[in-house]
Amino acid sequence: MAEASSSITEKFFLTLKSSDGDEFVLEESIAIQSITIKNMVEDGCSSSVIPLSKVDTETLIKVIEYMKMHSSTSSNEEEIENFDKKFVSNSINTILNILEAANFLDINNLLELCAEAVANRIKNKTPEAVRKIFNITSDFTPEEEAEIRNETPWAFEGNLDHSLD
Amino acid sequence: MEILIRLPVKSLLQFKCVSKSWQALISDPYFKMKHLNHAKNNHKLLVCQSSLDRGDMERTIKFSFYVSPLSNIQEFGCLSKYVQELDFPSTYKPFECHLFCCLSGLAVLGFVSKFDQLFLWNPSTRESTLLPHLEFTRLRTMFGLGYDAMSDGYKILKLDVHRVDQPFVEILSLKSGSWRKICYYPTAICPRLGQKNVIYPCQNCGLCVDTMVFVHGAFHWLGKTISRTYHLASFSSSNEVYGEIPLLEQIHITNEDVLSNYGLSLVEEMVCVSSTHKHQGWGTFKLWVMKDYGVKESWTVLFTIRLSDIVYAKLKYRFANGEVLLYLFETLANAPWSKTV
Repeated sequence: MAEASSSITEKFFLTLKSSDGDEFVLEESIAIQSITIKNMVEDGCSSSVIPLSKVDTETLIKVIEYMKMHSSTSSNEEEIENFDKKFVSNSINTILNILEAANFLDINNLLELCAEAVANRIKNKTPEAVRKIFNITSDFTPEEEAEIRNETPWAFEGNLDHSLD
Repeated sequence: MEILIRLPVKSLLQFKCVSKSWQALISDPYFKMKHLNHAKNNHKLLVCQSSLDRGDMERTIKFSFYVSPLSNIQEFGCLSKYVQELDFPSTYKPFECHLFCCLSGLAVLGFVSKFDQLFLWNPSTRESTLLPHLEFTRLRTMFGLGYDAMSDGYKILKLDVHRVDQPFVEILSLKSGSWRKICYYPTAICPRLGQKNVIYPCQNCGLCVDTMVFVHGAFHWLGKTISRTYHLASFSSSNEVYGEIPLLEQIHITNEDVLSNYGLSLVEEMVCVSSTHKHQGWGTFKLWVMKDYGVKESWTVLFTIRLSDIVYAKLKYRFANGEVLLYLFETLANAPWSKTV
């Protein structure tokens, strides 16, 4: 009898709450791809709702989609590969939000996927476009900026992309 | 930071002018180290090409450098699409130009014109530094570039064979900025006579010396003694002591009828010896890999090729699909060549 009961794996569920107040119920085995959540479960803080104050609803939906696809049981390699390709075709701002969430939730392969995607998208962009994407105001004087450009003029040559996505 | 370490050097140099904090991050040595570590698996091929330049007044030899990525490319066939020509690292034209060794994206170059010049070159940032003056001859001098974790700096080792019994060993620590002579040589005990013989770098095709490789914190090169025994010698970059890595007896043939050439390279951080034996018109190329560093029994043959006109071949790179890039020295020409294993 003891054997029979141990062979049935009991499913545990966790509730994740976004910064917008929306709640999502997720299987524990899927959610613990996030090391942050895994630590919380191990410390016994998971009986109630897990508040994720740094992740908004839109981003959390994407992160959960990703974790479901990447949980070991459900998908094959080809499916995952296609999913990842589609996943990184989201707008650059969405990916940056996901990257921040992945950093906070400590999901290493999601962090790597997003970082790689952003790097690919910005590598041919102008410094001006990069400033807009990352919401940065330049704190250089025009002279200082010209000086940096003069250090390695060849780096500023070629076809550069001015678009913001 | 996770994003920036994935960017190519050209983009980073541009993004220095995004803001002061980006400039500070990109220029930070810690960031540079992270960037280098991330790029470690992005192997690239650097080629030096010499061609005849028909000028108005006289014919000169023109040297050009090309770079091509290797690791994201599955096979040799599509390599040519990615090849990029680099700006020549010096403003004046040398008569001779040698690419001695590479490590972590840096290359040691030797230019010969009215006098010899030795450069350390970073093709990605296009920066080059003139190294302290030193005489060298391409056919007799071997250079190795290594990193010393203890002093956290690069070192360049130079081995020169003026006389077989007395090789010339000098080392340059980039931090100190001057060459220092090393007055002791690697030796091996001759099995027959029991005496110590100096190991000197072996020459291929009776012509030029092989290259050194840097791995496990030490320079490595193939050497020979006057009693014709072959050795894999090492010199550690931090405590500057010689060592020897055991070779398997089957790797080297001492039959006088066989013309043998050996080359040392690395495949996925493993030491490997390319051996070419030419006997009665037939060449046999074997690639030996030492799977566990320092363990004699771990030498294994990766593959064997038999070809009639092969004189000397050496492994340059192994692609993800098992295809290999070989450097070939044939009776006719040098050409990269590939074979699937």
